[in-house]
Amino acid sequence: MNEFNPHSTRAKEARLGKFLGHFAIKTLFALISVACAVFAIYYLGKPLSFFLLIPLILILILYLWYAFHLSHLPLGKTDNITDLLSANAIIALGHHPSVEKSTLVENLKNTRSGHFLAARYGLNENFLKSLDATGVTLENIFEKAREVRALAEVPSIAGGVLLIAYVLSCQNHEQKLNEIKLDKDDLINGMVWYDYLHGLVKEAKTRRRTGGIGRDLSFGYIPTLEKYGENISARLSAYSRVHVNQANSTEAVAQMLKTFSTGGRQNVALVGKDGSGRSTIVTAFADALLDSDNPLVPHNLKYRQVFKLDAASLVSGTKEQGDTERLVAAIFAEVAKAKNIILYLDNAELFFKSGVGSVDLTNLIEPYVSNSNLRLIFTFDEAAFLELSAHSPRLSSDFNKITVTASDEKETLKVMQDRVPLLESRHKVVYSIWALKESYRLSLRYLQDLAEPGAAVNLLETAATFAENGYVSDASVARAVEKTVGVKLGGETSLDTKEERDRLLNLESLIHERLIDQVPAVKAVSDALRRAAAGVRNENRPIGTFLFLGPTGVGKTELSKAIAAVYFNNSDNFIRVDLNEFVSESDVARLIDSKNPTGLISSIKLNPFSVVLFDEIEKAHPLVLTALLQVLDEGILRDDQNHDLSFKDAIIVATSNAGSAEIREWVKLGADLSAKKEELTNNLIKNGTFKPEFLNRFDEVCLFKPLSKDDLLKMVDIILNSVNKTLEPRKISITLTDDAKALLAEKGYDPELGARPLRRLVQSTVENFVAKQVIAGAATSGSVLTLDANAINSELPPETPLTPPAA
Amino acid sequence: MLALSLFRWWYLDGFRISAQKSLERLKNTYDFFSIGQLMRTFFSPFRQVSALSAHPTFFEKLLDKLVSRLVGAAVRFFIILLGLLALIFQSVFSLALILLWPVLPLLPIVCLILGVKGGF
Repeated sequence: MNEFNPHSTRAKEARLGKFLGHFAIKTLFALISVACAVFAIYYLGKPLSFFLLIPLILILILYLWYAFHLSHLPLGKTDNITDLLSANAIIALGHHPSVEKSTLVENLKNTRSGHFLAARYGLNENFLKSLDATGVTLENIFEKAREVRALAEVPSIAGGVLLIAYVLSCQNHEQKLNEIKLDKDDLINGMVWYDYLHGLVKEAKTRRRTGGIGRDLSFGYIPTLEKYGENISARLSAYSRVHVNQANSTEAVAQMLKTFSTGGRQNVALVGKDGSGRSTIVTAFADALLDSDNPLVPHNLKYRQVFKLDAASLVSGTKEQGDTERLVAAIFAEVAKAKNIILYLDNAELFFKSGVGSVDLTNLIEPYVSNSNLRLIFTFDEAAFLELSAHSPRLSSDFNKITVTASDEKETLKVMQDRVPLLESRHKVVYSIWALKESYRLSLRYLQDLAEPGAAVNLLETAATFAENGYVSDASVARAVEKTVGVKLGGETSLDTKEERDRLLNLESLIHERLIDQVPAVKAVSDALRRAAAGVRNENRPIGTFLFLGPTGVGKTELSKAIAAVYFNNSDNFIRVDLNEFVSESDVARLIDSKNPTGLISSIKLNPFSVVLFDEIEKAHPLVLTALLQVLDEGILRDDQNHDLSFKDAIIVATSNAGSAEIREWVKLGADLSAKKEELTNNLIKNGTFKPEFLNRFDEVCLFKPLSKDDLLKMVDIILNSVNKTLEPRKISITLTDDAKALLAEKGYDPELGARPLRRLVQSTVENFVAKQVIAGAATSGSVLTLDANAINSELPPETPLTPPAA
Repeated sequence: MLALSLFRWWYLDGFRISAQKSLERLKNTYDFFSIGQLMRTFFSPFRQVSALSAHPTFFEKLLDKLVSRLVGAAVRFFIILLGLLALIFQSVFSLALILLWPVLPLLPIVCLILGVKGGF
């Protein structure tokens, strides 16, 4: 059953087919045939001519055998492995029943499907070498190949199937496939993809019957429509077919055929988001009508041609609305007279409203929609159709509406796989499977203006521009998103490098380089971020959601900034929204305003990998907090244009002073704050500051304690470090004596504002001192200046009230 | 072994494939000349051409359509005729191929005999 017989007739036929397929052999036989034919004619009637005919006839027989049989060897009739192998696989297995594994792999790599899997799925030499093939026998490989063939539903066991079977037979295949972010299903799908493309090539070689030269003789002339419209049917070739790879698209084409072949209103309105495949459905419908052999197309629809009419070109072709109306009326009259036209009004909403690039032709089109025999196809954007329904309910009810929904991941991948050959030949690149997967993932997240599969296909095409050495990988797709959408994807945290792993393992110490104390809060945040980075989190929520509670000036904002700097490696990945500016109901509109270039929506669009700080959350209007519920729960905020904005790559931090008095009291009494967390949140719910459903949506609620004198002294050191960094280009450095630090800590602390004034105080006093020293010539490059309490005192304006810096 | 395989293929699958290909070619020719479509619409007005005025009389309408239909029928007749001629030639050629197919492997032997015998 699983014993390959290299001496079987089928194996010999495969090898003969390969031999005869060589260009040199074909040329040799052609030359012999021509020579025999010429001499046979020359010696016509003589005995020699009969002898010359013998090789000519034999070559002809051999050619017919090769062309009709050997060049595409059909499967054998039994379930034996030799009968199931493709010709290429048989050749790869060679002449011996027990081929060496290394020779087999080498040969399989060189089959067409082997090349396909190497280029697109990374099953290249390095990967194959990394596999542990100990104990793998030819028998194992054949057994696995049968399984792969059945799962992929491919007709034969091609070289690629054997290669996959070999990979899956190796002990460490799961681990090795995981390393290149693939699994068994991916490889099986790879074979399905290869088989599909192989089918397309075969299909392109067969001529399709599309009606012939007299097809349109009984149909009228359409000069105006030809001038302003686009003949979709004429674009379709007799050698290629339009494929729809979405279940709902196939259904839509069938429904269109039914609508137009039976009585009733002869119109169809395809309603769906841009990119959902409405145009492809119309093209596939036009394609079906031209296929003479399509049994699903009734005679009254055969060879009808689909013409696309574009509102923008109509409007630009006329001077006034009256002219446009007359033009459209003339086109409709032509269409009615021609009898073979199906008019397709793309972005049909533009025909039903006045404005730039649009024209209101409701009165003209409505009668045709409601009771005409004129066949019309409309495509509408979802929102536009809803608007039209509200504006003209009668008109909208007259449409035979077909809803076109966005495709899911599997369908989108199929559509992309269908388009890949075209894109590859257009851009001279090769796409990897990771590029396709990444296109789907990133387009779903960052190209919200388009639905799938359009968004993914668009991104895939754009990524061709960012190919490296003609190879489009997931990195090319990420770069395409960064460059075209303006999104910075650099914040995506991975565990690929040791540096990244170390950073995540040492989050606490890195944060504490910028923040004093607040150890429980820092630990809670660090733990949550490590879980997120390790993938132990819900991908459909933000990376982390934290509520920081505590008095002013204790480091809540500083911790948020530290998270941005440490987790995203960039302090610019920080978006701050002061919710004390969103205190009324009408402020919700401001929060979701997509036009404001500095607003939340624009900022998160440009930089999705950010810490989003909602400051003073207790002051926000309840409706604003309700809008934020979805952000916390699903990582989504719907903007004023009805587009969903993703916060799934963001860390959400909300800060509040609510409960500060209790925290202070507890700290004074020496209570453990972490044990008081529940009590505080219950109190905040009880006194109506926050609703329980709001508080429950945070991953962590962190309590911040007021800073002690020791904390303030440490803060002075941190601030001094940053001042020294500023002075670094001048090669001057500052040190403070202990009494100077104590003085700054005392003067920089405010019971109401916490340590907020401290930074400003340290900066101003120290920098003023240095400035005077530089001007006086006392400080030059390489100087180390030491400031004591007297020096600090001299820089302090006497009894000047300390104003807090801007938050 | 391979010779036997060729022999078996020639008289089973090969013969069937060859006949199928001939049939496909006939279908393509039938489609190329739109024979079925033209016969179904034989008396339809030619390209819906009309020379009617804005308010034609019944007689004008009748005449106009009649002329258009006659022109259409004439054009269609010639195309159908051309198509039928092509089909006839192709059918004869296909028939010859089908008849020649089983004989072709025997021809080298016939040629050998004729060559040895010095002709017919």
